[in-house]
Amino acid sequence: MSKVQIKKRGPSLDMTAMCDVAFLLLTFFILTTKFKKDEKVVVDTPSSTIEVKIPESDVITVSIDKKDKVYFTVDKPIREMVLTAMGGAAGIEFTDAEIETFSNMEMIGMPMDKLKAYLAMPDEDRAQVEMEGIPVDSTNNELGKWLFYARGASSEIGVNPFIAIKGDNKASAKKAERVIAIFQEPPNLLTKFNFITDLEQKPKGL
Amino acid sequence: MAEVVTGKKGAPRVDMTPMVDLGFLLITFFMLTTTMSQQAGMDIQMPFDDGKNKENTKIKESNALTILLGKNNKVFYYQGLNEPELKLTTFKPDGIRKLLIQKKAEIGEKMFVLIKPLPKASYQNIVDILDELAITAVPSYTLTKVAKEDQELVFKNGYTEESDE
Repeated sequence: MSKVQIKKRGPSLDMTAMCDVAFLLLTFFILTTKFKKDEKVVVDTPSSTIEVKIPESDVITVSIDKKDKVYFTVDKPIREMVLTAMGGAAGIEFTDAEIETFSNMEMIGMPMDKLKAYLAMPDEDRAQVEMEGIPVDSTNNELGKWLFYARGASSEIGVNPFIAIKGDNKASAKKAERVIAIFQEPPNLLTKFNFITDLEQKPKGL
Repeated sequence: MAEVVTGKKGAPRVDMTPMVDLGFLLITFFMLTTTMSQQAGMDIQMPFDDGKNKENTKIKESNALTILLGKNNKVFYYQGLNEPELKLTTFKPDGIRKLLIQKKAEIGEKMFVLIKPLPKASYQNIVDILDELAITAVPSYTLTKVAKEDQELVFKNGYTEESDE
């Protein structure tokens, strides 16, 4: 008997459209992805339901980590100005290489008298050293100076900085109060600022 | 003349399957690495303090609700300022939030909340309480230093672990 042979083959699907979609999505994700910066200091912020957007630039951040150490962050364009001003006030002159290193650091958390030595270290050594935190005592209030010069530098380039406190869950309330007190004290007299928090769902049924 | 049949004309078919595979693999990678956790800010407006102006805003005693933040997420509160009775509550929704809603209904728009972190409170407590106040839409509140009287009141009620040391 003669048989009609039918070739068994899966239905051929046109993949072109699927491919288009895949790559469209891929492009979207590539463009929107922002890789988390490698932060040496981990600050795990508490969450809140309040949604005030933090701007992308012109932010001055005071961070408090879980060991209650205080760090200071300013935007890259003014970092050099701030460091030079701080150095000038403390009578420390920084070399170009040290300023360069400073410009590439996200957070600064060293007392002024140790900052120069810290910046002069080779990169590998610096990675090993744990930062000590910026002094906030009333006798040696370096945070106030950092903030003052950072605000000065911001106004020099004509921006109004967004000032925020970024505290760790486990940081003490006492330290946060001290930082707030420094904000309010002369010469800063700063009364409006923000707490950086993670976003949390608003409770329903209220 | 014999014609040479060349078959259908057209672009050669390319098998797209591996390309789609690759596309989706990369999508998966970027989707997973994208940080979706948004950072938000919490507006804080502190009173102006230049060390000279020591005149305090007068508020009616019974309208003032003082919240003391203690060790291990404890929340103490008392109403009024004269011989107050200290009570303990928690950060749970049926704790401080319920209390704030209730007090707000009792006192109304004149309600004023004072937040005072005790020495052992954490930063998270401050953010949490400010968040609760925002959720319950309390009209006016302030974050201030804990007074000696408050600490004494807490000790008197037996919470001696709230001391400085």
